[in-house]
Amino acid sequence: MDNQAKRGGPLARVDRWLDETGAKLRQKEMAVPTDLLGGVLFLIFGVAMLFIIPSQIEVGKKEVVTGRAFPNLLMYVLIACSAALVITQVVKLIRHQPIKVTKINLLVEVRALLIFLFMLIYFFVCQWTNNFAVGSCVFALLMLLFFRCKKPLYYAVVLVAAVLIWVAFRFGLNVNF
Amino acid sequence: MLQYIVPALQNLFHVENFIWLNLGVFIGSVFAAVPGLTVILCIILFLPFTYQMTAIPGMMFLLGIYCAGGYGGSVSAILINTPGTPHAAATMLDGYPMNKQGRTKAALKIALYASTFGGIFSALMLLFLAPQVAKLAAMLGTAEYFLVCLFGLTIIAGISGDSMLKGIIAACLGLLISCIGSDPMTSRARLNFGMDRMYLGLDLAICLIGLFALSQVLTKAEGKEERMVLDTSRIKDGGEITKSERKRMILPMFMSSLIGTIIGIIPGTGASMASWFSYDRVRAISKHKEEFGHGSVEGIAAAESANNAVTGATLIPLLTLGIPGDGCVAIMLSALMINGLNPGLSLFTTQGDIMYAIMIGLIFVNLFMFLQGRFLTNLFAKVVSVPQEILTPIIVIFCFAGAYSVNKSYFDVGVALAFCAIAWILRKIDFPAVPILLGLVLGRMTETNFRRALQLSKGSPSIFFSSPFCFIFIALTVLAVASVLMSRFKERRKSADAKE
Repeated sequence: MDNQAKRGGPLARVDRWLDETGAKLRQKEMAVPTDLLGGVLFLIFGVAMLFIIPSQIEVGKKEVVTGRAFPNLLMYVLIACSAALVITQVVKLIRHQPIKVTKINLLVEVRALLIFLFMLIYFFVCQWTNNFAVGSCVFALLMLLFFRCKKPLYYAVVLVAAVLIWVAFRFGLNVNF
Repeated sequence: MLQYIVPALQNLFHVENFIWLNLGVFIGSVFAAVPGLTVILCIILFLPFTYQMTAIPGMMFLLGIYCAGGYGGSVSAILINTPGTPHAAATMLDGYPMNKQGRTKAALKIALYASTFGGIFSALMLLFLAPQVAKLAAMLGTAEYFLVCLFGLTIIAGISGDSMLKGIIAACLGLLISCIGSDPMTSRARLNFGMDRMYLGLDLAICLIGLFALSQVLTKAEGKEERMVLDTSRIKDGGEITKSERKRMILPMFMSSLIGTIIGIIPGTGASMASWFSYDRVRAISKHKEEFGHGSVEGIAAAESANNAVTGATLIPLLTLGIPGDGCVAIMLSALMINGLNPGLSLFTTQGDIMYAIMIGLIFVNLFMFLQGRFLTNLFAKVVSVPQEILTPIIVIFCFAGAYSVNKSYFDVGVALAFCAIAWILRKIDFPAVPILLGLVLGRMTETNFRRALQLSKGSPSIFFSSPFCFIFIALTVLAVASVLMSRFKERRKSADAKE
C-alpha cells in the first residue's frame, strides 16, 4: 500500500507532503494569555508613542492648545487602560484565578501567513509589471492552489473574473492600472 | 420641510439613481445571503465606487446594500439554517422550521414583507424625526459636540467585544490613526514619519479595506468552509400565507418596527440586539407562544421587521450629530462628507434638497428590495452555493482594485495591507476592530471640537461642565458605562454560579 502511494505522480507526492506537514502542524498549539499580552503590547506602544509624538508634531509657542494635546491625551488614556488590563490579569495570576487564554493553532497561523504572503506577492507583481490584471491572475492562481482546487472550471471562472474586474475599473471607472 | 420635498423629488427621480439603488439592493442581498460575507464587507468593497459619484446616487447605492443586507441574511437562515448575517439568527429560529414543514416560500415571503414594513417604517421615522433632532443639535456648542463624540465612542467601545478596557484601547488607536496627516487647526504635518503622501491623512476606505475586508480573507486560514449546497428546485410550495397568518403578522411587525427604530437610534446597539429583543417581546405577548421555535409566523415577522427598522434609525444620529449608529453607517458618513455634506442642521436647510432626496430615497430602497425579493429570491438562494475557492480571490482582487482606485496609488494598497496585518494581530489578542472604525470616523470631529472648546476657555477644562447639555451628555456617558459594567458583572456572576 505504502509503495503504491509512493509510486504516484509528482502532484500526488506534493499532496501527500502537504497532508503530512498539515497534520504535524495541526497538533502544535500554543496557549496565549490574550488580555495580558494585549495589555503589555499596548502599554509599550503607548509609552513609545509618548516619546515619538514630540518629534513628529511641531508646535507653535503661542498656541493655547497645541497639535500634541489630543494625541497625548489619547496615549494617556490608552496607557491607563492597558495598565488596568495588565494589573487585573496579574492580580488574577497571583490569586491563582484563571486568566483569559486563547489557543493558537500553528497550522492556522501558517495558513494565514501564507495568504498574507500571497497578498504581498500580488502587491509586488502589480507594482513590478505595472499591470493590475497580471498581478490579479497570479494571485488568483496562488489562491486556488492554496485551496488545492483541482477543478479547471474554477480556475477559468476566477481568472475571467480577475480580468473582468480590471476591465470594469480600467474602462468603467477610468482607473489606469 | 415641505419646501424641500418638490426639489428633493426632482433630484431623486433620475434613471441613474434608480439604477444604482437597484444595483445596491441586488449586491447587498447577494452578500448578505452568503454566510461568511458581511454587509460591512460589502459596503467597504464598493465604497471606492461611490467616490466617483455625486451624493444622491452614491448614497442610494450604499443604502441599497445596507437595507438589502438586512433582508438578505434571512434567505440563508431560512434555507440552510445558517444566518447570512448575525442579525438574521433570530429569523432562523422559526424560518428554518417553517422551511422544514415544506413552507419555504411562505417563510421567505413573511421575512420579505416584515423587512419591507420595518424598513419603510424606519425610513418614515428618519424623514420626520431627523430634522427635529437636527434643530436640537444646532443648539450644541463645541464642548457639547466633543461630549457627544465621547458618548458615541464610549458606548461603542463598551459594547464591542468582551471588555470595555479593550474597546477603549481600540477606540484610542482609531483616534490616533485619524491624527495622521495634517493638524486640523494649523495644517502642520503630523505623525507622517517623513512621508509627504501621508499629509492628507489615511483615507477611511483604504483603512477599512485592510481592517475588515482583507483581514476577513485571512480567516479563511482557520479552515476550509464547507460548501453549502442548496437545491432551489426543492422549493415547491406556492408561498401562500393565510388570512389569519397575515392578521397575526400585523402587531409583531408594528411593535418590532418601533423597537427596532428606538434601538437603532442608540449608537452602537445594532440590528442583532433589535431582532433578539423584539423576538423576545413578541413571544411574551403572543397568544401562540408554543409555536415559537417551531415555525412561528410572528417570530419571523418580529425578527425581520426589527432588524430592518434599524436601518433608517441609525441614520438619525449620523445625519444630525455625526454619530454613526453602527459600523455600516459610519462608512456612509465618509461617502457623505466627500460630497461636502457635513452632519448637522445645515444638512436639512442649505442642502435640504439633497438630504430629503436621500431620505425619501430610503423608502424607494425598501420598495425595490421588496420587488427584487419577490422575483429574485431563487437567484439569491443559488449564490449561497458559490464555493469559497471562487469567492475568496475575487474579494481580494476587488479590495486591491478598490484601494488603488481611491488615489490611484499602490502606496494605498500597501497601507491596506498594513491595516490587514494590524487587524490580524488584534484578532489574535482578542481586541475588537469596530471601535477603531468609530475612532477613525469620529477622530477629526472629536479633536477639532476638543481643541476649539479649550481655546475658547483659554485652556480651562471647566468649559466641559458649562451648560445643561454638557451635564446631560456627561450623565449619558456615565450611565452607558455603568450599564455596560453592570451587565458584564451580572454575566460573570451568572457564569460563576453556573460553574458552582
